Amino acid sequence: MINTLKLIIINEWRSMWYEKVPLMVLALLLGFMAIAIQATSEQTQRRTLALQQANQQSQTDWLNQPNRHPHRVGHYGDFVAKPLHPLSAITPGIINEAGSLVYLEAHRLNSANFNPASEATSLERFITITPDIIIQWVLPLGLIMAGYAMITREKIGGTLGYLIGNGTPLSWIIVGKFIALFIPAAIPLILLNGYIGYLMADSPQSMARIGLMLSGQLVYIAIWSLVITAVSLKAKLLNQALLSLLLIWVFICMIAPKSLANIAQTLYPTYPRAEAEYHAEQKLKSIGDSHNPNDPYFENFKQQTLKKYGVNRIEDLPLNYNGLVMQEGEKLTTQVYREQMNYHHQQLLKQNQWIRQWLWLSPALALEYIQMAASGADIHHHIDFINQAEQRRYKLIEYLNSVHTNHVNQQDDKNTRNDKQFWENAPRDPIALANLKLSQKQVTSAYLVLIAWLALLGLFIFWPLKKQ
Amino acid sequence: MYQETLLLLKQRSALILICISMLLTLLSLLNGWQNIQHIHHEIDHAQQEAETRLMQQGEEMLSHYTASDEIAGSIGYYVFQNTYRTPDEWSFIALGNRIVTPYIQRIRLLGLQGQLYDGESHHPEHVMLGSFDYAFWLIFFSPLLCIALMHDLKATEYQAKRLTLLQSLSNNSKGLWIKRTLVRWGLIVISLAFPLTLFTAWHQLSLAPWFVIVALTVTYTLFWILLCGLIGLRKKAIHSNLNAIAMVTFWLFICFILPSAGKWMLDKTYPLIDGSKIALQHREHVHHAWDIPKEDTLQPFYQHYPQYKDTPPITGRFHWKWYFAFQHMADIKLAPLVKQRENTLNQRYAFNQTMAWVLPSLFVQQTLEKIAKSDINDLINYRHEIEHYHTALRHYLYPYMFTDKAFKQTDFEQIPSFTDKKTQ
Repeated sequence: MINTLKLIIINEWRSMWYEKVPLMVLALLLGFMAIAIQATSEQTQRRTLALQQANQQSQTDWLNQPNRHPHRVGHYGDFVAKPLHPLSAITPGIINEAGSLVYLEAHRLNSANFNPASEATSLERFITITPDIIIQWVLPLGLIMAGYAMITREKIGGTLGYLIGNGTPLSWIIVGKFIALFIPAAIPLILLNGYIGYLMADSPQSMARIGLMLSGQLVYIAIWSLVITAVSLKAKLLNQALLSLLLIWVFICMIAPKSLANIAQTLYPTYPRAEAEYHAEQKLKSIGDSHNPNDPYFENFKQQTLKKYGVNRIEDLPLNYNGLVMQEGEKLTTQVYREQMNYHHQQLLKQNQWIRQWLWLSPALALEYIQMAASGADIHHHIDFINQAEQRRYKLIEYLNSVHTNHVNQQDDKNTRNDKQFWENAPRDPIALANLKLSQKQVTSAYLVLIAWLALLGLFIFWPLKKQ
Repeated sequence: MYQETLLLLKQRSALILICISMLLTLLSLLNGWQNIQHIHHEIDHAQQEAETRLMQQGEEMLSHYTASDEIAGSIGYYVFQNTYRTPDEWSFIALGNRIVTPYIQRIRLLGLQGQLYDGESHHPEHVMLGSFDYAFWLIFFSPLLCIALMHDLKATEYQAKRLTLLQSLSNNSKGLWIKRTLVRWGLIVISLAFPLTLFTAWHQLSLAPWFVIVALTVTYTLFWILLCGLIGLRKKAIHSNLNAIAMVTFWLFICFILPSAGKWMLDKTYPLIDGSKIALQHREHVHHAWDIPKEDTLQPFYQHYPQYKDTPPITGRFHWKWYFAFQHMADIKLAPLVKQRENTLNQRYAFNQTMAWVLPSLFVQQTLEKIAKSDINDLINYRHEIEHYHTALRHYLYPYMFTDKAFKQTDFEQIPSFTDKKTQ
């Protein structure tokens, strides 16, 4: 039986060879892939370099600060740039669409700014042919062109009936055709991912990430190979087979992903940051205004502080009361701003959650999620970057406020300049790329969608054959 | 013609395709509209609130402080003014960069370059997936309609063994193919333009843009019909499947591969300086001022504002006039870099325009974005508007800080707002 299968596969390859179209498609695809890898890695390198430079510049600027008052340093602030995974060269994901630089400042929560998409020209509104898009979009299209005729042709030519008459089960023929289509697509993918794995072995979680990407891609290609086999089996005319497959492709790759994204945005719209900031400021004012000397919240804070140190006047405190007020104020603002930030992130994640319910419509979008997660360029990695930046901001400002409290003389507060050594010792933990685990929910549902498609297609094709 | 139309519509698959196209065209229009309505709604809400919010904050300032420089300085520091990038009537046709740039930005009197790029609030994954608007639908989908209706024009006749018969009517055969092609083109145009026209009438939109968009639709689909005709009606075009493959390959090139290649060239020829440079330099300029004598900031500032040259020197530790002077000087020092970036952006736009002459898909995208005012040009204009407004605000508040012009309640009410600048 294995020999029959082998024969079917080899025969299919032979006819692909003589038909020229499949070969041309393969050559074209490999050419596109090579160019896309080159172009995308150039783009990713440029982006990575720009962000590295920003980080370095921020680092030197920080260390070169003269003696300053700690509160001045709190407003001087710190910049952090987003860490990128080298796999972004394969799947850039949201590298151009998400802000990449956050300004960390005392009692401010700044947005992640400078995404190239804002300043994009019309040309950049077209879908860029990156390696992941080739696998997700162009490869299925190539497979369609190469394989739509596989079984239909034999049906029309009468060879299919002949084969079956000779005792070859139809299921073997289907499996053979499927394998004949799948293998030529799978081998370059395995080689490509192997090569990437070799190049990027040192990058964080590289093996898990590449494994995830490759397995997703293989299942996805298997789905398409099965779809094509199925349609080729059912169609009566070559033309019919091709057109149906093209329609399926347009729906899965273009219409469904775009529609889902647009509907999700309409159902859970995001609100302008300006508005959110205003509300946060109002809320802060209602809790306590550290700039207002008669504010009840801070009056209460003053009494408690005096009691704690057992003194009657601020002047008698062993440390700088202004610094304590700063610490208290920072605590309040941080709480309110984080609330606002989380609300915004929740709104974004609600959009993802809604799409997950409909993800079964499009295995292409499912693969997109897997690839973006694998290369660390999805929304979950982005939100983690923002959260890490915010943690770092609070830690840093806390440190500066403690310098203010303990190393600035209250009597001569505003004229004090602390030694620059303080800034060198400030806690500024580097931002690490998020753990892949953060995207787990998204990746799991995407995998389920892919597996379900594969299983249902198998069922759809082979179940009727069993009854015969 | 009439008969050919009937003949085509009798094919169930063709009829279904045309109906789907109409429905999805309408959906693309509705989706664009919905996005723009959301922006309008948020802007309206913010505008309604803005005045009461401002008045409230103004009263706080006036009650907290007595000296006019303190009042004006605190207003400049604490009071944010809204600026709006209001969508145009036809913005829904191509959402362009409106799905990623903030449409409301808060501005205060501090250095502008530190504020101009703030305010991310979009979902990056969905910006990447792109918007489902008319531009997308026309550029990517209408060629597929042409392919679906044109690839088997000659081939079906061949398969039905009628081709030789048809060709032998030598007088008519050319006319027949032309007729059949025209009918297909006409139906495709109708499936796109009819929902568009309906939509235009429904919302009573202005007609000039409608006319341009319909003209674009007509010519863009004509280009595809002709291309498909060249392939589907050539002498040996008897294999419809091979025709389709050839057409789809063209589609792949015109709508994906060539734009991607263009993008690659664009980044190579006109690389854009990363915006992070502005942010980092701005911070240095602003904070350096605290470490140097105040006169070192004020003297260069007075060269730009000689009318304040003879105002009394600052003796105390802090004065708002010095504070806002160094904020403005940071903008002035950054101006060459900002200008350089803007020039690059303009060059990139020009590159697009040149390339659009050879790439029809890009031509349509660009023209529609221009009509929709959602391209890079409009963003640059918006930034200029903000800059002008910021200048107006500065010029309004400076006299209270530099000369001791008294600050009265009415002075607060007369602070320029972004919207009345636009109506001027």
